[in-house]
Amino acid sequence: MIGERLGNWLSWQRLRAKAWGRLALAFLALLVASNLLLLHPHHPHFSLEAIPGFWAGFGLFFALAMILVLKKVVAHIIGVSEDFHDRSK
Amino acid sequence: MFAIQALLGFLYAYHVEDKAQHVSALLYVAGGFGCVFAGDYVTLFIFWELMSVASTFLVWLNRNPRSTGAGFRYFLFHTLGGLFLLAGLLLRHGDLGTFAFTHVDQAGAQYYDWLILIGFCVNAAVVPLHAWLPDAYPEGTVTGSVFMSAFTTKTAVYVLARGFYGWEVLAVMGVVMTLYGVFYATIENNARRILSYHIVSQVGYMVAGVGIGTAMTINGACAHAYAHILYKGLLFMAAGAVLYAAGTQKLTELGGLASRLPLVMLCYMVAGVSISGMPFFNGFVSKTMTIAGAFEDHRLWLGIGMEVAAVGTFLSVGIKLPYFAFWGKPEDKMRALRPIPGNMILAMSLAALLCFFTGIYPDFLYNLLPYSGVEFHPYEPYKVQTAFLLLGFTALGFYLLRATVRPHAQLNLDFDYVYRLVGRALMFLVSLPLAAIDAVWSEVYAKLGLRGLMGSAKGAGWFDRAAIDGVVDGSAVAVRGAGRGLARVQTGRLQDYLALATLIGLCAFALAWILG
Repeated sequence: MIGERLGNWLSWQRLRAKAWGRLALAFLALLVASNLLLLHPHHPHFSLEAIPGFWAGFGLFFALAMILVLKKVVAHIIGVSEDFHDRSK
Repeated sequence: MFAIQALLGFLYAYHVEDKAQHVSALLYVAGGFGCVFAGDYVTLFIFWELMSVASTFLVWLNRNPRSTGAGFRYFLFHTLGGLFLLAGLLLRHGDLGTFAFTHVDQAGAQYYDWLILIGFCVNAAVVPLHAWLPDAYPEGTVTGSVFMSAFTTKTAVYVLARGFYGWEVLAVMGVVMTLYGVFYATIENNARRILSYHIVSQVGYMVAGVGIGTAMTINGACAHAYAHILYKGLLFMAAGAVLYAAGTQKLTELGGLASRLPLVMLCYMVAGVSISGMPFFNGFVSKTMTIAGAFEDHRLWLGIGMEVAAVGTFLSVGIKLPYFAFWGKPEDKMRALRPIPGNMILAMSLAALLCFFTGIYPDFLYNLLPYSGVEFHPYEPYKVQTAFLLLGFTALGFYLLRATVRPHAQLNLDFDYVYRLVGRALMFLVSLPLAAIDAVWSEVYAKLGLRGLMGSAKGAGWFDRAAIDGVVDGSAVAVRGAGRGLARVQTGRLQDYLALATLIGLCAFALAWILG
């Protein structure tokens, strides 16, 4: 069965998570390098886009900002217990 | 596209024994087709309401108290939206003398056009009219939600694109939707509710594309609608399969299931990277089109907003949900999992294949677009690189803060709380004077009515014995028979009335079709 073999392979790969992590980091480094050296936008839509690594910084910044602001601040403001609506009936 | 998804949906639901679910799903799909093919507002309205009723049943048929409540709220809200649409189209007919469904320019728009727009916006889940969606979809049946995720909002996008393209208000609201959806999804714990918020977000791209209204963004919106039907259906299938197997859809109660449900995980990931716009999958070829269209129209802030939403999409649907559902914890070998039927796996695999196929062969989608001659090539090296950079570093951000983003078992208040408060206030306002009148009336009745009644009863009793008995006996039998039939219909349950109304409506429609 494909599913079973795939499952076994996945649980084997879990043991090698570190190697996968390093591979992913290497891929990111390669991307930035290619952005710095090889590929530039032909006609950037706005001035900042011309800076190499702009979209990398954009992604990282907004990912971090979103998690921090939403989980640390907003979630505490709008969060209520799971049976909130059931109780208020 | 609707037909493909309907086929996949029924394949996914093939094992379900409950006939009512299939009937509702079929009626719902029929409503979707009717809306798309409708030439005038009246036809549109009929099919619009058919969809609303049928989809309410798909929520109710999950048969638990939560889904009953969610179904009622869903139905009330859609009825409200439908009434806006009805009011708008009747007023429009009164003014223009036509029901024709044509494009309206924002500059010359009348108040009734705005009413119609509000009716459409309810179904498109435009913030703040969106809260029915994350309220009802997570409570629908495992298979029903797969259908609902594809049809209601996309039908709404279609009618918006047909009647209201180029409306500035839609461009702005669309971007607000994209952001609002991902913000809520980032802190949500319920898997199918995360996906529901992402419907709001993804439909936001389409609404924004329609609102900006250039040939490229409208094409982008349509391409995204096609792609969305595929990958969102697949996301709901995979999340439904997890719910089916594990019995819960809360991320806090899941984790470490990757090796137990490897095929589900794989299909989910295909859909997850599709929705995030990863190159080689179908979200990439459609989402980038809308965003590029926004930039080319010099709508800088709208474009930036959509890029931020793309980051958030990958963050919550592409990484967070699968991470906490399938990985995130030590391997879970103990949990008892219900075996997943083969037809569900088959449907998911086919959908995943289509997501991939339309990603590497985008012309399959592009050939279906309304404006031909718009040049767009997603696979330029720079565009691919940008997408990978954006998504790769989003993943890095997740990795750095993976402890913070861990979901918590909590409910997040949304606009549905406002709806509920308004509903409760209305209930109070209605029942207060009624209760007062009732109290006074009882008093009056007790004092005066009884004495009068006693007197007249005496008279009537004599008349009855003397004259009527003979006549009435015959007709009483007939009345009793009719009454019994009526009583059987009047069960006092809204779902029965709705089903009956739909049936009568369908019969009337069939008669009109055959005789006309």
